[in-house]
Amino acid sequence: MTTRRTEVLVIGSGAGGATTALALAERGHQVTVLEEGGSYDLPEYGGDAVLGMQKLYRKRGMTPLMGRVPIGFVEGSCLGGSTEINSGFWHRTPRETLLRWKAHYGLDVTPEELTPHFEWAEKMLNVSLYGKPWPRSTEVFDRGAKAMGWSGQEVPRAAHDCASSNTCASGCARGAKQGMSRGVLPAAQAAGVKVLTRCHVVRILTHRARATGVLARLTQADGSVEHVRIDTEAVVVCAGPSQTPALLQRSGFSRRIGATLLIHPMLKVVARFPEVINAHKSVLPLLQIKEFWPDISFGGGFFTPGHAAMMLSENWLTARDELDALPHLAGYYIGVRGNGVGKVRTNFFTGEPLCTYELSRDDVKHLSAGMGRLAMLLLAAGAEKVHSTVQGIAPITSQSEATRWIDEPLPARALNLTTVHAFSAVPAGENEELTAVNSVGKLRGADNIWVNDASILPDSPGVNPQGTVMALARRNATKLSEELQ
Amino acid sequence: MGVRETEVAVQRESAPRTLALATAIGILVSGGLLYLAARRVDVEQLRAALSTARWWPWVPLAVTSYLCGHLVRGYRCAALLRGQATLGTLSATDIVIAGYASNNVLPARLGEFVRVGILSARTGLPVWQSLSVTALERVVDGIAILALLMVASINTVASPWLTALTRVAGLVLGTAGIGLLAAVAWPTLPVSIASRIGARLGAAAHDKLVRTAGQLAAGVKNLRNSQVALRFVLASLLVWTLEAGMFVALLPAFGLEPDFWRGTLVMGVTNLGLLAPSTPGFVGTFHAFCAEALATQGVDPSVAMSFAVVAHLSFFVPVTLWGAVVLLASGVKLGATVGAVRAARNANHVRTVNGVTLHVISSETAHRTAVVPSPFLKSVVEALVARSDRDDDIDRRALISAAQFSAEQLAALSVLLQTAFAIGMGMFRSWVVLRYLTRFEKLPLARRRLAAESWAFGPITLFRMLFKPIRGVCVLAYYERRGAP
Repeated sequence: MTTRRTEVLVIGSGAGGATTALALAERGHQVTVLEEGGSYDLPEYGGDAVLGMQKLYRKRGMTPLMGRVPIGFVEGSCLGGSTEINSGFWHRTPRETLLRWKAHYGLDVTPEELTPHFEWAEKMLNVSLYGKPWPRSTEVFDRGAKAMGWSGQEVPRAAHDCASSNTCASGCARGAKQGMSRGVLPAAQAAGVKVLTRCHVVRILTHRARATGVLARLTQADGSVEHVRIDTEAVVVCAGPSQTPALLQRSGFSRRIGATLLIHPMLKVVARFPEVINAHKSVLPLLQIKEFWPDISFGGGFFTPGHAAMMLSENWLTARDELDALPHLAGYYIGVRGNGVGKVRTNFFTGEPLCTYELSRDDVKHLSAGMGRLAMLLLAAGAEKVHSTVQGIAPITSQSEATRWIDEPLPARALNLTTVHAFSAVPAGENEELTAVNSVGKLRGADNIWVNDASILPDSPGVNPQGTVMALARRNATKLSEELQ
Repeated sequence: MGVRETEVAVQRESAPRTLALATAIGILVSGGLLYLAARRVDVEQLRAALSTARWWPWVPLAVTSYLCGHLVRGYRCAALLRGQATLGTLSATDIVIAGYASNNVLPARLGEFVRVGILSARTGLPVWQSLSVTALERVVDGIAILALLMVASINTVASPWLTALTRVAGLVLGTAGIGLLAAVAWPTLPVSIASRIGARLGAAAHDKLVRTAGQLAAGVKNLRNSQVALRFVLASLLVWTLEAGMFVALLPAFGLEPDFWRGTLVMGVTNLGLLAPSTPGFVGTFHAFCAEALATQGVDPSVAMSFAVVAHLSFFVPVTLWGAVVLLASGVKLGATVGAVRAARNANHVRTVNGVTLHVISSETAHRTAVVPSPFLKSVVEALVARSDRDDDIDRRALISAAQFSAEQLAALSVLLQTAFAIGMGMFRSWVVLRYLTRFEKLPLARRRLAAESWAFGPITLFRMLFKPIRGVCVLAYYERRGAP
């Protein structure tokens, strides 16, 4: 019998996986990408939020982080991963963050080393500013920031020529937003990368600390399922912050795996303005307020009629009538750099990850202060009312009500939080007491397994992580290529 | 660096040698058991017992009971495959009979493979899955026999060897039963464990173990439906009760009292004995265990042996004849079928998809289980999204869509959260019955809203938490589909 052994298997096709695959293929390696979700063409993108969740989200978006305060967490499960459903906001890793990672975790990477990789990614994704008059939801946000004297700036996005169709979260049907399936993966395929979708990796098969292949479940178009073995000489796990640690645990690796999950907890608010905003008909607010960074940031969230209803549902009995004024509503968020305790454990019986996160006191303090300050900003921008997603908290209608929460913590159990940024479950660095992989993502205790996605960020970057993930992934892939050769 | 090819030596199973060995062992065991059973038998008394036996109406009654058992087997097989294959009860019975008949003429239980082959050919199911269905039936049959035997041994004369037999069988089948339950509850678990063990033993052993585990998981898939599982268990008990009926009906033919538990005991012991290797048709093994079981009940050994002879004929002749007709009508060539199934069972398929070489270990057909919202869920969704007590205020299309979406979202939750939600809704429904003396679905919209809102948005944190999974999801879907007012 003849077996064909691919040289490198990349598990996952999101920001980390797609970048790794392309970088390795460009250096002459034979690469296969395995993606658990399906592959969709542009016409299949851009439906409403319901359709988006059904098609593009892992377990249809029903993957909360458990804890005393459950936190809604969504990630993409399709070709391109979460880059297909995110906002496309682009940040380079703050210098301060990289220096801290080096000092604390021994992550051997400098800002200068990452610069060419950021430049490459920004070119690849056409990262740019909006370039057109801002939508009203951004204008009023900017107005509020100026009124408060807080620094806020438009964030570049990987969405050149955005038509403001407000469908980022269910896939950009115009192809303006550069999810990995638009530019990076096609380039990788052109460079020889093979892609297999609907292929869920059950385990990495190892023999004496060496990966020999993977066992995967391949779902066919008719719904039938095959168990297949794919042989390989090296594995790069880029399955995302929840699946990467789970896969490693299922494969028998446990040291420092899944014990340090971190997130950016987000609290949302809905502001009602006297003027027509039509936030549900335009791209999300493009500004981010970094006055209180790194602990607290403000920004704008996806806003559709369904999202508006969901945000108001925490205080539904008193807030639901606001839906009649939908054109006057807009949604914003408070994002904090979480420093609570998160874990990813694998359920022995089902093999699925069980993700938990316990908010720290600081998290609650920052969320409370953030809510107060964001309400102040929105009221200063002219908002009549600010509804929060905190159960039992009446809408804020005056600055004095808003200031209350700067010093007083919100009741933690009443918070309805979400997050779309999770990382650090397989932290990287040279400090072996704190990290699971070395500075280039090589898994300790294995000869030929690497991790190269958001999981390896040692802790919270404090900004949207896609840029950091892509730059680190490309830098690590070049090192991996050298090692393979 | 291109795809590398490695020559892998494969050890091929020596099928003819194994078969010859199994046949030889079978003949030896059968011969030995026949000797042990016959050594206490007086040939003259045996002849006398046979000649004085009253064949009418007891033997036809016994055969009828036995054949009815096969009809139930057919029903059970068809029920187990519902949704995966189109198979009527009579067709399924034919297939079952063909397998039994083949076992009567082929050594080493090769009839099981004949059955697998015909099932596969008739239904289009993969051979692996047909094998798993047969294996599942065997395990459940064993458990059903054991359950009946245990009850029978309480109601009849005890004997030390019978107790020992029951204990050993209990241990073996109990273990198999636990494995079966685990596979039903957690379908990915057997494959995961098999892969973990197999990875240490090399690729060939890994694939073989995973294949077996995959077969088991595929076979039990339908049992995750509680109604199918209940039907399957009840049908299995009925099968063996009817088979016990054959033994009970034959007792009066030899002047013995038609005691149901005595007949059940003989049936149980005889069938557990048939698990041992034997000659085609179980000659010797059947007689030895059947006669010995009857002898423990104080029946003269010669009469017991005569009973065994007649019981074996009732067991052997009708099914073999019926099976021969089925096999002839189907044009099935026993040798070719067995050979094809064995080859398929041992083959390791290598195929290429999108340029990726896959070693296909096992496969299972699509399992279509449409998620349908229950009347209760529909009522809850309506109560939560309605903003007034007037029915005509509700957008019916959006409501149907929201109920469907909610049901699908809930089905996507982890088993743990689904269970918690089900318990919560159970509590809510009970409270409604106590409070309003009728079911929630029967209440007018105004009261339903009052009841649902008092939990979902009320002051008690636990109640609010129980409603959390449905609250946000249903308003999201409803207002997303209803759109802006």
